[in-house]
Amino acid sequence: MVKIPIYLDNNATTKLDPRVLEAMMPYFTEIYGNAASRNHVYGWKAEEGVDWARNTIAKYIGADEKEIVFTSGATESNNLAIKGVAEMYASKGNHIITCTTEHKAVLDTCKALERKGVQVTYMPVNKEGFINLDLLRESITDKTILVTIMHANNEIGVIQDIEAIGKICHEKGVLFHTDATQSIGKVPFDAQRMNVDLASMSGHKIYGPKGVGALYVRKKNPRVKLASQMDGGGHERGMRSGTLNVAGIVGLAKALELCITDMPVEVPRIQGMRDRLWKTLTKELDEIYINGPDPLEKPQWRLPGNLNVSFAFVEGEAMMMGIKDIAVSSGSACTSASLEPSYILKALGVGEDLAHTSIRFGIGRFNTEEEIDYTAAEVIKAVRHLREMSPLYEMAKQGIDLKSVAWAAH
Amino acid sequence: MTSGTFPSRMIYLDNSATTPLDPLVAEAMKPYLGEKFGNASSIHSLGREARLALEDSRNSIASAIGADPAEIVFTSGGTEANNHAIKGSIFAAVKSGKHFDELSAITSEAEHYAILEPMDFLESLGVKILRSKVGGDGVVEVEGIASQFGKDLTFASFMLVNNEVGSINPVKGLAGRVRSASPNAIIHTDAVQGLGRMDIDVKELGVDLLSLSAHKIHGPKGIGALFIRRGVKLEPLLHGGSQERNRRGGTESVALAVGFGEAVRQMESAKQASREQVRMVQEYAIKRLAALPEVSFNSPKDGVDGILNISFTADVLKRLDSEALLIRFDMEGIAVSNGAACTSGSLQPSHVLAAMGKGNEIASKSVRVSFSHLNRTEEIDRFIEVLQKIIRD
Repeated sequence: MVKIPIYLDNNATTKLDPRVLEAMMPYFTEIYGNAASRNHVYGWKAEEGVDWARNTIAKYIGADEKEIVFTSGATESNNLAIKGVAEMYASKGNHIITCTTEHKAVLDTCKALERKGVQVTYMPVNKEGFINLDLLRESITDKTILVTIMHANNEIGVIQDIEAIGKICHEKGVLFHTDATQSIGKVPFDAQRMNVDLASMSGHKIYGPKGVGALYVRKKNPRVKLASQMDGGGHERGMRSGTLNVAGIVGLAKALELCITDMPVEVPRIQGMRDRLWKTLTKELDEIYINGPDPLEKPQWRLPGNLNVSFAFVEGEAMMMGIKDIAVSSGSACTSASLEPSYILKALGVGEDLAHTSIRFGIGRFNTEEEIDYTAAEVIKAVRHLREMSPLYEMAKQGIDLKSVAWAAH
Repeated sequence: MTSGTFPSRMIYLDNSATTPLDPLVAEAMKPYLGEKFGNASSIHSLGREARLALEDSRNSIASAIGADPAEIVFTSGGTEANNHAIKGSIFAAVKSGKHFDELSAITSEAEHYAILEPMDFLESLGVKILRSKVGGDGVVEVEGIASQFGKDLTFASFMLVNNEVGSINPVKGLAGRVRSASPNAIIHTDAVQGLGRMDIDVKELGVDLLSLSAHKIHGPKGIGALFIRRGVKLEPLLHGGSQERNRRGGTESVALAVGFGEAVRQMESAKQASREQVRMVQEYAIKRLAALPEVSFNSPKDGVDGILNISFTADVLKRLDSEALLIRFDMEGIAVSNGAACTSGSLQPSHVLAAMGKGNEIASKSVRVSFSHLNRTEEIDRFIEVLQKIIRD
């Protein structure tokens, strides 16, 4: 028997791995010093933990330890990267390129900069969620200072070709930031090889703690300079002040270490469960649509544990109620309280009707095949039940083209 | 990772830098570092469970400072709260159509760097920054600020308790003075060092914004809060997501917030006993130190209990090396500091002591001891013993 509820919302947040908690515990108990206290052993012990974390993270993302800045999470990392560059390079230019399907932490930051006079180009995406590299190249002007394109999308799991994007940016002499919150630890990431100048990451998406993240800031070729967004004390080489969250920082590094060492086993296992779920659903249900790249045809371009499906003729909220033993999301967590259809699906060209029926399944480390089978059975049952009550579904089955129906206003 | 243990008899007298996590706080956090791991913005049961815990903590913090829960925004700590307060106020004024060079802010010379540096940044954008002097006691005089600004002041920030010397600013009086001269100014206080050491009531103080940090009150590092009085509009510091009523983007740090809430509850429930213990230790330390002819006090007599900053008479100062002074304490198993942790490596003379009119020698050769309710008078005896050894060697 599977234990309910089943957690399939691992793109929203993940459960802290007990091995990570174990690594953090000493920093919640005896090693409680302020890592900035330079004149006693409490401070030194805390700093040792931070140094270990910095080295560990650097090693696993192809960076130098001096290129890691600790933050309170990916939102802060994204804010620091984008505003930090916009401020520092204001004399060089005032144009930033991003894309329409970025996380709100990037989009809202760009919008805030627009109000201050920065020009922002929002690249469109195709129906799978990819940006067009030729269009990107054409969009870069002599005023462009930054391109910020996420590595993997939080809702539809599409993985951008950031190595190619980075190459274009470097050819054009423009800085490249990627929000790698969803990708680092789940797919290979190497800042050097991928030509990345700035990369955001978060603890709680990789079985680490909430409240901690990091920003990779390239030190040479080119040396990236940032205007700090939190001043006071000059921690983190002046880029981010504030007493370091030592336990969280150690947890972030331990979480990444586990992801990287387990990756050869975990990626095929998690991807296998995702594919099994998708195959079962497509076998048993008609009128369902994948959002983002096809998991079976383009697995290398989709996060291994992500599946985003629109179930036509089924309303997303009703669906979530129908499978209430299973924790999934009908959009990203930060906007899930609103009943607006996902702006990301809209950007893919998904119609409002289908966008309203989408469910994101985020499969992760602690899920089992039994849970996947249970989930598939529950989803199939719920969809069939909801469609039985749907006159639209019945009409579609009878071959009526719903788009041709002129609905009477009432 | 780090290994090894501490020397057996370590004495921790650096509680203004940070405090040990209360085991009860760690206990309260544990479920949220385990099975209750939901994203507080998710609408499924795990998310709702996290949301409830988050709001419960918010309620505890709000009630401890006489605020409404909706007026509390969680941050990553005191530094973020201060940056949010200062930049958020100024940027909100800019958003409403003002230019930087039409704006002005007042603070004091003895503030924490998390106030002074954001102020320097705003100055570089054209904002007029007034830096009020402090007296020899480290306190900003209410009448002293009166002449410094007119009716168009944008922002004022005066810390409640100074982190280096423990002086207490008359925040209520300062806020009242600012309010009467410049009714539209937003008034902030950095209360990071005041929380736990004294009662705080935002209505009584009359401030619009107030910064707090958890790790100074035996809570976890990485979490703080900013009180934002209802109706006060700030530009967010962190954009992205609609968390914290659109005031602070980012996935809510539930376990840390729960830890903060529990630390506040523990602080409140043991308030009298804790403060009595700290007062007893403080009075004992003062008595012992006063008996040493080589020691002089930098902390004012009417400062807060728990922070004591001392220096030495001229002949001793001449012999002492500022770096060796602190290393000796560490070698003897006592953790003290020479001021704020964030500048503890620099050996620069303290800007706080300089603002209080102390000479360079004193400002660079001082010792701060700071207590929590976990300290005992026996630890003071040991501290005095070591101090005497250092002075007389």
